[in-house]
Amino acid sequence: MEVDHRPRMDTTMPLEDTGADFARLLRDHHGIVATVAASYCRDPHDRADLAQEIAVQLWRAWPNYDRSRAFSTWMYRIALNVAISAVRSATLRHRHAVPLDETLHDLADPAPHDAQAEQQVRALHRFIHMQAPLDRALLLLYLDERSHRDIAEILGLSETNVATKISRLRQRIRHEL
Amino acid sequence: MEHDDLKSAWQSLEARMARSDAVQLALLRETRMTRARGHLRMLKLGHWLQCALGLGLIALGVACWTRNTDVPGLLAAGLALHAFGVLNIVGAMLTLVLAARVDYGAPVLTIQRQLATLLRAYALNATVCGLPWWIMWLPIVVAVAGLGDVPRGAGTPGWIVWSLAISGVGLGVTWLYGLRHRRRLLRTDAGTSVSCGDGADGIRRSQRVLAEIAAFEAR
Repeated sequence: MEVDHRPRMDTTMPLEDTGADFARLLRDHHGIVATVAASYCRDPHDRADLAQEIAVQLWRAWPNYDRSRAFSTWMYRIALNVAISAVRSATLRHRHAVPLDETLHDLADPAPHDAQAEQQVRALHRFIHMQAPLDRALLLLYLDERSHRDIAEILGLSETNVATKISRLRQRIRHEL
Repeated sequence: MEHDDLKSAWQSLEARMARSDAVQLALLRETRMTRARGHLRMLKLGHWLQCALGLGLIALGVACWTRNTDVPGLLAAGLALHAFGVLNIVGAMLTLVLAARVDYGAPVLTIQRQLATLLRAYALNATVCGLPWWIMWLPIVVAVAGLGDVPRGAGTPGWIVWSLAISGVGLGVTWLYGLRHRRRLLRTDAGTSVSCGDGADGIRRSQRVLAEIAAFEAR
């Protein structure tokens, strides 16, 4: 059975420290926000807007955060909810139509690496952006090696359903990449 | 792509994504927060104003029909305003309650379903409480007139009949234009996803979201 070793909130922390605590947790887990934003928006401006919108919603939902649960799971829920809603919003979808390869150019890696690895990164990037919003959420969680339990909790599915979907997703990845 | 290659490609891509947005995220400005809060406040304010308008309509309607139970035209105008006022309050309150229930910390599918319901309520409210204004301005004018002394047995003034006819035509033309515009757009390739601007875009969008969720669950 997979166990979540990700950091949890300190429930003994005084209330007045929660603002600073939120900022610290946001900094520690900013990768989740950045990854979700980059997976749902191609244009850098849209991406920055989405990242900020996610942070705003995190802060708004912060008072209701159940401290006995993993922060990253809660953060994923909000980030994905905001991103999926944003991608469905016509304004954001049609405001900046950026070709897929230019998106990756914007995410260019300054470190030198081999051509085959670069090709694989591009293929994966293309594959992520080809997915429907909900499928993309599942794919991101799978790639981030979240447990089936975590994925079920984030998406609101049963663990059995998640296992089935992951198995089909693996087949598609093998077939299409 | 083998599992190890996939893992390696993802690690590289994830690192680039995180690096790309790290600076933007670090620069989270208070202005952005203020803007978002302001936007939400305006949305809520709009619906509270709709509630206040509904209360006003009810007050005017009740004042009119209780004073003129023996004048059919004024009685009808008062009752119409009363009913429209209730409709405005119900529409606004329903939207406010649904909006307040949305908690982004809930599971993705739950929230996406709730958002689709909210979108539908919002679109319905806008149509049901917006479109009738083609005609509803008339009962308001009539009801205001009905608050004064109205001679018993006085007939309906001609201008009211003409205004009602013109407003009815306006409402019909708006509805027909919306219908034709929507049919024309739905015939195009992108028809199912474009905005028709006929007041039902939100409803169609909510239907698409719910269908997408159902399809995702079934796969």
